[in-house]
Amino acid sequence: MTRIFAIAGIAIRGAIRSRMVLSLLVLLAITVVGLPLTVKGDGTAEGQLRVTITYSLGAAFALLALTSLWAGALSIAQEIEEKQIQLLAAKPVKRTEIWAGKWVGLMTINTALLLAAALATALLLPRKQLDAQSEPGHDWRAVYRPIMPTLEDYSKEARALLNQRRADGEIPKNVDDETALRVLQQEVLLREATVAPGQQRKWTIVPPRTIRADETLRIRFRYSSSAFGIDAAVGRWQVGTPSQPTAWQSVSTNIPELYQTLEIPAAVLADAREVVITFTNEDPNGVTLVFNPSDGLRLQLPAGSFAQNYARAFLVLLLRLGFLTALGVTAGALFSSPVALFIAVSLMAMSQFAGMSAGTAPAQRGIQRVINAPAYALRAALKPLASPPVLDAVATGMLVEDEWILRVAGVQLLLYGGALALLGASVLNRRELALPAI
Amino acid sequence: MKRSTSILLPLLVIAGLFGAARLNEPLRDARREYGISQADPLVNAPPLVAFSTVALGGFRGIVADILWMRSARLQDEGRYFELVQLADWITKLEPRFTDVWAFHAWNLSYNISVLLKQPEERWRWVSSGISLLRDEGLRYNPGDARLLYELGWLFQHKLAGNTDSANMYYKQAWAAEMAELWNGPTPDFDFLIANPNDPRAQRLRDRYKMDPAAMREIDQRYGPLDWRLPQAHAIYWAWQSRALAKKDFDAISADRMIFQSLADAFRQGKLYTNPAQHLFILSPNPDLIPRVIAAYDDAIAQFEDNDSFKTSQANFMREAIVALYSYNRINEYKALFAELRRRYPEAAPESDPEKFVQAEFTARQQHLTPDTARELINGALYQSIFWKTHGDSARAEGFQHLARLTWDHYQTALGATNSPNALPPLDEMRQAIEQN
Repeated sequence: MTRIFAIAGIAIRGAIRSRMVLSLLVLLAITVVGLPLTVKGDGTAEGQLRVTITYSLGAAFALLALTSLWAGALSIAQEIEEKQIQLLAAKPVKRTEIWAGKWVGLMTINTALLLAAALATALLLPRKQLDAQSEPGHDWRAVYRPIMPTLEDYSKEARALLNQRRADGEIPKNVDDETALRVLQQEVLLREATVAPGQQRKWTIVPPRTIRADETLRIRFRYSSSAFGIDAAVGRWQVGTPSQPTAWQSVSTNIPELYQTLEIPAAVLADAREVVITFTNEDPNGVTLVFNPSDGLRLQLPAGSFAQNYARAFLVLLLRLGFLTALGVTAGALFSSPVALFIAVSLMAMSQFAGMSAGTAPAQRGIQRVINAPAYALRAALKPLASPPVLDAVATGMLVEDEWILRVAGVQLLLYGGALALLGASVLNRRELALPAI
Repeated sequence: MKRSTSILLPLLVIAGLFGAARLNEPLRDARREYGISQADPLVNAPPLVAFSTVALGGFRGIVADILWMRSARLQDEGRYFELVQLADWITKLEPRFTDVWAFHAWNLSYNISVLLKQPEERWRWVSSGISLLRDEGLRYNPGDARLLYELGWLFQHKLAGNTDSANMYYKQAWAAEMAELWNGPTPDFDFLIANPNDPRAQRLRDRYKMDPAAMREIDQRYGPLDWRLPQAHAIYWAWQSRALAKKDFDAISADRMIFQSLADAFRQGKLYTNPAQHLFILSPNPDLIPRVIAAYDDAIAQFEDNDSFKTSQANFMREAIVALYSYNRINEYKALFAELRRRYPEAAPESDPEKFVQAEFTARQQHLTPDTARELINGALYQSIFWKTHGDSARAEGFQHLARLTWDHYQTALGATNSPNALPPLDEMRQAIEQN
């Protein structure tokens, strides 16, 4: 361990001597302070808060991410090319320790710089204006955790529908059961999400913790309307428990296609193990309303403070920097410096866009399957590297989920970062570090 | 390589480069002529925009696409706080792409504004759309007739129209901004022209991008207009668009905007406002009728083949006859009726002007829009006041009763009482006319 820290110390001293740290500090200061001054919000203090967090901290992270890759890739590759590593390799240190020392050194710098950027961003938040504009129940410091309704299993219903339609000859014979079932499940799902005039839609939600009587819960919802335009639709909301489903109710008029929030006094749900939410379509114009199954409704539970959430976001960003630094250092161990840099940046870009590649691939057979296999394998490998939307969450007052932290720490840093560490150390072990100059 | 080849090849390269350079200008002219290129260098671009458009090269389209996707996603998720900035960046990445400016201004002013509940929140977005076109779009595309038209459209439709339930708030907010620049309906054009360093003249020029000399010319030609109201500003930007229009389509569109806005100024182009009493009352301006008809005449003379202008003019004349009658301008209404029959006999088959007015009045009562209701009620109130001052109290009472009936019919029978387009109380409307 001492040897790792010694190598880390050398890496840090090298970074300071080369003025990398100083340059980064200046760049971060310009980014964090300058961006909120130039970026236009929507004119409100809340908008300014969101823009400051998203852009200042986002840009600071992007800058550090690129620097991590660059510094990581060069830390070993350049030392090999300039033969400086021979001084280190000649000493009684394992190659694994060289890799780890470089990583620890760079991560120490990253931690200090990201912390400085996060603190500066927090200091720049327009607190006074936010406090002045806060209304009762709309505290900008409040953080909520969105809870999804329990997903119903519609497979039996879809199967029954399939059997019936097969018997009626409504499904062409060349359509296999798997494809037909997938379509029919969507049909059933959509039918369940539709609320015709006078009808009801019911959701059951299991809160992950006990609801306290003194807190305020929220329902966030959005529906589409069968009517053209943006005429508001009227509906009755009832919230309660299975034994008392109408403990609280309210009639609200809301514009379709727009996310809406209803506040519910938690006293009516105190200690409830299950929350039942019922919506009745009471629109006088007889429009049909559709709640999108994926984002139609969420129960929002209070979940800590802004500072705690900000700290969680910081942790996720730092863990991601850990993975990116590992990627850079390993690329540097594997390739010469320009190639290492190119590979590292390409992989980072692919991991950033990994989240955009989603959906189910259509069933393929034969040669098509073989041709597409590498692409699907790459997508499957990169998918866990998608970046969770932590800055968006902090900016909008949503909880940075435990699951995100665990995914980044467990999968990205430990699993992928660990694999990269093993690969890097293994290559370094085999690599000839003292090749003569050509 | 032979010596002659090593000399010939560089010469060939130099000759090729020279030829390409010589061809560049004619090609650019041809592209400009056919409107297939944005090859003209950017003028007035700040260093960041000039740098990003050159440095990013063809990649700026990709960056714009990524920002556009983010903008669409945020809008879908109801997170609007970043959209002004994203629109700003996207338009700056494609500063010569008119449709991009037009789309983002429209998106901010129309799509986002209507999703918000409070009128002041909505106004912020409408104002952002106007600002994007006026302060940024026109800066990079100073001669773009289409952008000028789009800016005029925001004034004509979003502010002056009544399709948005917050339209009265927009009108008041805009009038309040203009009231900081001049008192009353018309600016002192001569003063503003003669004193370009006056803070108000500077503000008019720098913030609102308006030229007092052009305003005076427009006012002399089409006015007197109330420059606190959006109709005058729609005419201003349409006038600018008309002057720069290269295609017939753009010229026709600008002409149409001019006479439609003038017609609207006739219907609701007179403002009575008293902030202390929270009064903001719009009423018709019959003095503009000859100006509107003249504007139609100009467009008809310019585009003889376009029958839609003639139809539109005939409809306006029918409306103006009723208005003149209700304002007791007997000679004027009879003259206009005769003119209508002379020009468009099929629009006025009835030879008796009073019977024509009666039929028109009845038809309008059946289909009252906020504008026609305001026009009819104000006309009846004006008649009532007129006859009262002339000692005919019975007739005055009759017109007051007619105004009351129309007001009740609009507010109650058409369900406008609680709507944003509800009219002010009848007493306030009468008070506004008396003070005007």
